[in-house]
Amino acid sequence: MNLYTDTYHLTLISIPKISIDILWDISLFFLILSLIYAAAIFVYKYRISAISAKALQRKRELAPMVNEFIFYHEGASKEEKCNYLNFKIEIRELIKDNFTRKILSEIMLDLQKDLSGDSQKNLFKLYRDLNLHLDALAKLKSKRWEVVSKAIKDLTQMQVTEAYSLTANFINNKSSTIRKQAEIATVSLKPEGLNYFLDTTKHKISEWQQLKLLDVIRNQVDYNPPRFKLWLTSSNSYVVLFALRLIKFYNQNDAKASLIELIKHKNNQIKQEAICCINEFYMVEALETLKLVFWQSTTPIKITILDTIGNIGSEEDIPFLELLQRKESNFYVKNKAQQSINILSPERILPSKGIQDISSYEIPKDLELDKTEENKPELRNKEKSLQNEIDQRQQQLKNSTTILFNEQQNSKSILEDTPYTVAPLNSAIDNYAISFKEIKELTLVYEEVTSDLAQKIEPLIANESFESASTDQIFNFYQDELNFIPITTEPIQHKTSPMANQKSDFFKTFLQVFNLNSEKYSSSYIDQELTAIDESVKSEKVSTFDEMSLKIQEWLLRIVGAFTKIKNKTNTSETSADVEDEILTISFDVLAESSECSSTAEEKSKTKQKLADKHDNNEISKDLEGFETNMPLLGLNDDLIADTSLDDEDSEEDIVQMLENLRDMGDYREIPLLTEMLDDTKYSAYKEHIKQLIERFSEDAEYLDLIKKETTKKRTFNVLDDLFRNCDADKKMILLDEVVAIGDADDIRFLEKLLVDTNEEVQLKAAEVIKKLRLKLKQEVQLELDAILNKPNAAQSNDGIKNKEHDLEVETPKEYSKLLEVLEINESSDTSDIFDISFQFSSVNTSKNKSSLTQNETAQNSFANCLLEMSNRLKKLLNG
Amino acid sequence: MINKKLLLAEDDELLATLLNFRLKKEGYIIQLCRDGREVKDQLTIQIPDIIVSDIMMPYFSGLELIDFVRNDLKSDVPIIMVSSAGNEENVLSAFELGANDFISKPISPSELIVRLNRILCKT
Repeated sequence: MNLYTDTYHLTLISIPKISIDILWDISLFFLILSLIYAAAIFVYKYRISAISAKALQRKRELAPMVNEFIFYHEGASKEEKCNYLNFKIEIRELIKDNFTRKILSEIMLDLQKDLSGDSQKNLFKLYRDLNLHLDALAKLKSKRWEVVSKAIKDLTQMQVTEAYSLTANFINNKSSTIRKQAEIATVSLKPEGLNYFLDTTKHKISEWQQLKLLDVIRNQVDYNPPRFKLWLTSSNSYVVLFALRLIKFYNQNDAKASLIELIKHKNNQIKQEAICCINEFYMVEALETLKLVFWQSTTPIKITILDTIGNIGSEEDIPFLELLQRKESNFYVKNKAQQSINILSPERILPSKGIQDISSYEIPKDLELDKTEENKPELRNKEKSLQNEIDQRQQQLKNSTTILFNEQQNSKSILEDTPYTVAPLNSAIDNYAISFKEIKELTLVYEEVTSDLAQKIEPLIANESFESASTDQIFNFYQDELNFIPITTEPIQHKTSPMANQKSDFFKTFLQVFNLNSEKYSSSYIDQELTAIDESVKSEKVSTFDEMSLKIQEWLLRIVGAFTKIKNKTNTSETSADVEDEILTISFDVLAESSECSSTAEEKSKTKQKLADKHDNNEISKDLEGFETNMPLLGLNDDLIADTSLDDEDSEEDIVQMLENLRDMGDYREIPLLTEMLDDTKYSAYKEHIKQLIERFSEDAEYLDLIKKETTKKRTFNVLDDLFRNCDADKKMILLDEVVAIGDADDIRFLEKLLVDTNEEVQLKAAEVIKKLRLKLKQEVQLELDAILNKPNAAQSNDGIKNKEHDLEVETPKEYSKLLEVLEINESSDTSDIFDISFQFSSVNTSKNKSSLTQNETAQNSFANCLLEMSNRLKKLLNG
Repeated sequence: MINKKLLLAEDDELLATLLNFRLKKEGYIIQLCRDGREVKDQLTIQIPDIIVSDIMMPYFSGLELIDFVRNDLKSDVPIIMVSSAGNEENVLSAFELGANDFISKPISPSELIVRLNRILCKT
């Protein structure tokens, strides 16, 4: 038992001996403490609630009064005025209580946030009238920063300007809260507050504070900002920084020197802001300083400097940037330098990283064609047409002699065909009332289009190396030219202005058409000669194509005559040579195209459709599409069209399409094409269809021929007609003999009528006379051609032509003399007269290459060819 | 006197009182509501001639109120929204939901009256 007792005493902790009374006392203490705490909470809560309720109650009482004051106006009713006065008395009593004053201030401060306009102004006025601002001013003397700060804020919000000087004193207060509030108050209350603030502040102006100040300034009405450059010299770097930002904000770019100086500032923030200003104001004077400062700047500054150089720099700064690009190791700076280089000189530096070498890549052959055709059809068409043009020119150079001969043959054949084999005009043509004005317009359009091209072609032709020029060079030349093809619509509109007002404008037009220098031919004599022609041209109107065709020939021959007379008069070899040279270098192919371009939209669409049908060639169609907006100089060349002939692997679908088009839109003019198709097509199934179309169009042709004859009959007048009407067969035979000697192109039409005369002898005689007359006219033109082109010289290298000329001279000496008379050309006995134009090629003969080139050009664009081509082109134009 | 019933939903008591005072002077019969729930209750009882509502309100926002009027009540009563949160998103949302006009705080009571009259004249 003892053992147990001993063990027990050893193992258990003994219980402390605490008095029960003390425990009770402590419990009671804490109980009382908690009760006091609870009571305090209750009391305070009750008090706060009571005050809130009281304040709310007071607000509810005061709010209507405030509203009454705010919305009171002089024109109020008597009852309102009475209420206003009662409220005024009442509120005067109420504001004697501090609590009420406080509540009233709160009401007003709350309302000013939600009100604007007149209501807000009335509120501010009421605040001062009730002397509530005095409470705020009194609080400024408080030692508690929050009270002072609150007072400054209240005064600022209620726009109490009287507090300006008091609040300004707090600008350098040691409490940052008071200081910031004072800064805003100073700037808000008076416009000059900002100046005072910037002058006096010694402390840091935080970014947030700068934003708030800027917002205050920005919202001020009629604020006139001072010149902020005045503070760029401040010892407070924050003032300088803020001034720089204000300079940028108000675009005050009158501080160039200061800004450039501030680039050197040790403060990076100021430096960066100054660079931003320089960038903003494009101060190129700072570029050199920027380059100097660059090397000792931090990366952000370097990037800013590079950005600025890229923005305001020039190509002169590129070496600096390239140096940087090579020397700089910093990734960002290097990248920025590259960007700046590319800004100053776009695409100077191309992407180089991660670019694969594609030189070994090949486009699959089956895809290559599709891609080219699908994606670049226009380019392909242009290339093809230009290549054709080049080929033709090369071919012409090689065969210049042959071409020259052929050209003459062609000219004769054209002459023979004109006007007899001209296809009958359709009835619509009669409505055109063609005047020479239209022709002049066409020629002017030609001049407009080709002047630039001619300027480039002429030196190229004159250049001896032209013949040896590579195809690529020529191709590039034309490709470049095509980029500057003028728009046809505008020149046409421009040229449709009445040209008749200008003296001898036709002559000028002629000179323009033939690229002749008008200054050389501006003598009064020329004016007289050509004014006469011009006047006659203006007075004459043609109604049918045949008339027009013949008139054009006549006019042109008269012009040629005038030229020869001019040459006789001036007798200046230089001028003559120039004339010849210029005439020889005329490109009439383009004239024709330009004439076509200047036709109406309807005609163009007709031409387009016809060509598309004729050749079923997408290239031409696309060229013509472009033609409507851009003048194609070469795309519509006749030679080109001839090349893209029907024989070019016409598919069955193409023929079907073409026949459908011809059936729908074709007329008698398609007969030659259909005949060709009939011969060429290998599809027997279509032959029948083609035959049907030919038959149908032939009927139309006959019908139109009849109409044309009727029309001609009605509209033409001939002297011989009158004579023939009143004479017998013998007299008719005598007259017919005389027609050969005195007749001209107009008489051919009359003679044609005699082919259906009742007397067979007259018919036969008429046919004979027609033949002779045609030959005479042909010779006249030929003689003129030779005269202009100095054929005797040119013919030395061409026996065929020489023989031909000789034959002509022998056969028709009388006709030749007569032509000279008609053209008013004095025939000289001297063999070295104007037609002996040996001077023309004196320079040409010095070089074989040049000579052959000139001959080639002569063959292509000879003057006679021009004359004939012009009428031919116009005919085509009228035929659509 | 206009004598048009106007429901004014504004949780700011002072501004509500001020507008109430001003609009009453113009002759409007004002039904003042302090929160969205009160507005809904009021609208289910009677639809006013025009509603002027704040966007930020307890329980239901002004945008929800527009949706309630247009879609639930199927009413085309004119609604003018008033808000200090005059950001573009709020304005666009209000107009998309069917608000007739929008005024940003601080507001000019005179301007509000002009707008109210214009809308009521149109309707």
